[in-house]
Amino acid sequence: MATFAPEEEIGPQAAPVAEGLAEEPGVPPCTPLAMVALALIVSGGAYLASNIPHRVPLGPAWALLGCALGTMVLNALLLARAGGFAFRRFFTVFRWGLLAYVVSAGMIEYVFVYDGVRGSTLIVLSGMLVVFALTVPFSIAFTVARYAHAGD
Amino acid sequence: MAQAVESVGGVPQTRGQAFERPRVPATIIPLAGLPIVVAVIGGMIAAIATNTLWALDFYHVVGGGLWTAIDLFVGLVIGPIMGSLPTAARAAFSARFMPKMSLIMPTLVTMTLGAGWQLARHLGNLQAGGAKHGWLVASYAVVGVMAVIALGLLEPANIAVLFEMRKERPDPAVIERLMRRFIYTAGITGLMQVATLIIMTRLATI
Repeated sequence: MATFAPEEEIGPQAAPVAEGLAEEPGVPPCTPLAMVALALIVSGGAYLASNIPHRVPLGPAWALLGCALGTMVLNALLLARAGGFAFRRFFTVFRWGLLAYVVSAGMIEYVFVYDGVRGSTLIVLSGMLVVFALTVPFSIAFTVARYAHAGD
Repeated sequence: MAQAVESVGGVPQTRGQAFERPRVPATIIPLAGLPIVVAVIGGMIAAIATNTLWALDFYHVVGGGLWTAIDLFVGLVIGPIMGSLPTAARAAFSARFMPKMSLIMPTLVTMTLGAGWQLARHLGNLQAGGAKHGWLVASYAVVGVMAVIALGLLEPANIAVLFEMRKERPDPAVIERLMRRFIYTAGITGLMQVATLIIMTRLATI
């Protein structure tokens, strides 16, 4: 019969760890970094949305997008270097998550185009949507895979 | 030696012994709920496409009200109750609760934000310099914080619990840890929703 592990086997893992945000030793800080990337693009999106339909200086939006992209790349590099990680499970979840969030980002992109957003503003918004569509599935896949067996 | 320490529904639970796994959902996402989600989202798309004021208001108010109430209820009522339950009871509750939440919450958020944006556009509140624009920007900030918490912490925890439940030998420590993350983040977004309530009622009465 399928059972839960006995509580003796749980060990120190059962202790509260800052409500699950802090990673254990050896686990890359992918969740906090993904949240930083999300915060950067959400800030950029709010900055642009609060000024639509007027033209706004795009410098801050480009800077936020650049920082978000940098954080995302750093996150991917840290994960790629992690040993004993369940990469197969990670990519299985990531693929399905990506499908869902590409559809979601596509709908948001359509709304911006439908509302008449064009030119550089559209490019920077599209970049933010790309980061959004990659970061959320990354975060979901990481959270699932970090509790899977390395071979999974 | 195993020792009876708690009782759940009259069934003594023991420390130091494996216990029976709760009913495992057949799929990660409850497929039976998908037609309802499709119908709700389809209705929202129709409301946006036809720009019907009543329908937009309905979707925004109903979605926002339920989103707020569920966040507050989960964070401030269910959370403390869960914290006081034995592990087996928490796992059994999670096995039934989390699949449903994985459909309900994204649907409510999409309803609220999609209809809300179009409603603001329809009423002219998106125009910078308008009387209500400042309050709208404040709502972007609140929703932004909630989005980062929900997408970065809450949703991954929700999905990861469902994967853990499907393992041959789920680890209750992992489920507890993820559930704790889920409950706390739902509580935080619930409290953020109080700010949203203040902003939205202010917007409606300016």
